[in-house]
Amino acid sequence: MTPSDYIFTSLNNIRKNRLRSILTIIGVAVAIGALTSMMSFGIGMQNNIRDSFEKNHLITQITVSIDNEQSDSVNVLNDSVLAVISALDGVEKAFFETTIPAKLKIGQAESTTTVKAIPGNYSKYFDDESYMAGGFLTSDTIKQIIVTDRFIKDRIREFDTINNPDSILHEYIGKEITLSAISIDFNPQNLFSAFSAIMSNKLPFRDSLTSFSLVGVVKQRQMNDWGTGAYISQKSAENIPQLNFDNVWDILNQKNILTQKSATVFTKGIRETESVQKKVQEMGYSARSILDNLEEVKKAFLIMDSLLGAIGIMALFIATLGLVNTLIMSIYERTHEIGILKSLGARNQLVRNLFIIEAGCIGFIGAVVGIPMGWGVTRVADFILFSKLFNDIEEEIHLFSFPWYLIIGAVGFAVIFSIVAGLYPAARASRIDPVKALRHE
Amino acid sequence: MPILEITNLVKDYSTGSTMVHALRGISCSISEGTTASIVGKSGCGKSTLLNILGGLDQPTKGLVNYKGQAISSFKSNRLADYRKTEVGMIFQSFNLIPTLTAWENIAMALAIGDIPRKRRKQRATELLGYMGLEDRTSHLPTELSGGECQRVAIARSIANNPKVILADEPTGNLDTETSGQIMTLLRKLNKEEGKTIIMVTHDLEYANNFADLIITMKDGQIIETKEKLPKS
Repeated sequence: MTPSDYIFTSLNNIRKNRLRSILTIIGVAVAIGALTSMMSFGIGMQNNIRDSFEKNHLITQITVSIDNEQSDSVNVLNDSVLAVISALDGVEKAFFETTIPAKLKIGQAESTTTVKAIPGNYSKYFDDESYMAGGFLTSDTIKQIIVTDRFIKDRIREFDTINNPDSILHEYIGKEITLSAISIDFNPQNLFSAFSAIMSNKLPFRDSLTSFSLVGVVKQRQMNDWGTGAYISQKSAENIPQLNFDNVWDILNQKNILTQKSATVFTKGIRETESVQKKVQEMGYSARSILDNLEEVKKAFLIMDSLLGAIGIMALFIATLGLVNTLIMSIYERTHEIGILKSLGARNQLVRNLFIIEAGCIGFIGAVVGIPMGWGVTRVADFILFSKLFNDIEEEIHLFSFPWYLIIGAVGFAVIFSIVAGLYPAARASRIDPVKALRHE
Repeated sequence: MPILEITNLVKDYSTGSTMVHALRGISCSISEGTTASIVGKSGCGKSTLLNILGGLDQPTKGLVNYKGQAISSFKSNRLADYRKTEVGMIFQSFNLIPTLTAWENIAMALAIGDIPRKRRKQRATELLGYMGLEDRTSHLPTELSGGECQRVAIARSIANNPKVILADEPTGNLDTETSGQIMTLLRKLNKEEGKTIIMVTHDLEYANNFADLIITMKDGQIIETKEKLPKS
């Protein structure tokens, strides 16, 4: 017999015992529905967290620094090291991300904040959804600035007086922002002039002012950029005098920045993050990414998935008992037919296959019915939870996710589980004595 | 040359605490192309003998040779293959699968015989035509008369072109006229197709009219073997 003969015969038998087959299929369908909806909850939750990390570029971001804890590690992080890191497989962009404490003035409003110097030609630094007005820096050399929505909203009174402050953000694009940075006004090689300045009650610092044009307003990042209020290009930052020292000896030694404290590496994806992080660590540097924390999150999800899956499998196990019962009843009713098949020359294996495939067909039909049921339940649950519980959240969140691999996996699981359940009845059917079977009424 | 050779065949089985000696040392041989009848009273062991010849049952002792091969020592799969290709069985109660139509019942035997799906309907229709049932191909067994059912069963038994047909009381459930038609059909299979036919019956008249060889059984033993001389 060909596989299609087995399937045809099995479907014929299922059709023949319609009521019992339907009840068994419903049992399998409910179990598969429960299993898929629970698994989809687990997947949905994981996706939400991963999306949130991805939106903030956390999954693809590695912070590289000199590893002070390892005595044998290298102690220089400079351009040549950065070039080596940039050349690693999976690295999209590597750069030194410097921060400048500065005072920003927009119109009459003035406030201190941290300004981050970022590569002016790397527009992927922010994803498209981050922009609330304007866009990324259009040039590495032109003095342009991006500010966070929180920075601008907290400092300009106009935003307090209107209902939808986001709607007027675009009006600020193109406005001038003055950046005021503190720099040292003293030459260590001419200590006399420095001391005379101090003696005349004048501190050796001065404000250096630079004008920028506002090109974009981005959402305040939630996780790794909490204190940053504005972003400028690295080229622009080079012209801003800064206090680049750790201690007084740096000043006295007229220390230039021969080594940087840390570098930021953007990778092409989550898989690359893992491998790049490992390679950088092998180079002797400290490399930190959110994946370190994500491992813990993954473990927590694994436990949650296992618990949800266990409940679903319990349901499937109960359905399996129903399936075994159906098949055993079927053997009892079809004993005579089994005798006929054997008298026609059917081997034991053929009879066994017939029952196994019948079980598989029941599992398959159960899955085909159960998966839409499970999907429907998750849609309803999503709707209720979102509309009743999380109705104050602006962004739409799907607590359940129904990816293709879940659907295919559920079908495969239902078929395999059903086949396993059918093994015992099938073995029993195949062992039936044909003479006794032919006498069976 | 004998197609089937039986030597000292014994079959015992237990029904609860009682041991039944169904066959007590039977020996005989049946030549190819013969029509043989096994006659005897109910419970004399004739159906048991037929089941062993058909490979449905195994003897307790003794030897059954089919074309020189000891089928009594065949393992399960080889015995199934023997049933599939070498013998066709016909039963008193027809033993058609009630949910399949006439042609599907025959197609099932063809499927077991590994005949390609495309050939099955054609072959089933041919066989049903041979049985005079061209217009009943798509009928379920419940929609057919007893005689028609038995003719479908005969068509099924020869579907895989076996050498031997074993018929267990094929007219037992039929009226005289239909029984006569079935006997004519079996004789036709013997004469035209050269099938060896072994029929179990309790009706001596049918046995005498039909068979070249009449084996009479009593209490699990052969008490008489009568061979009719070919008509000149």
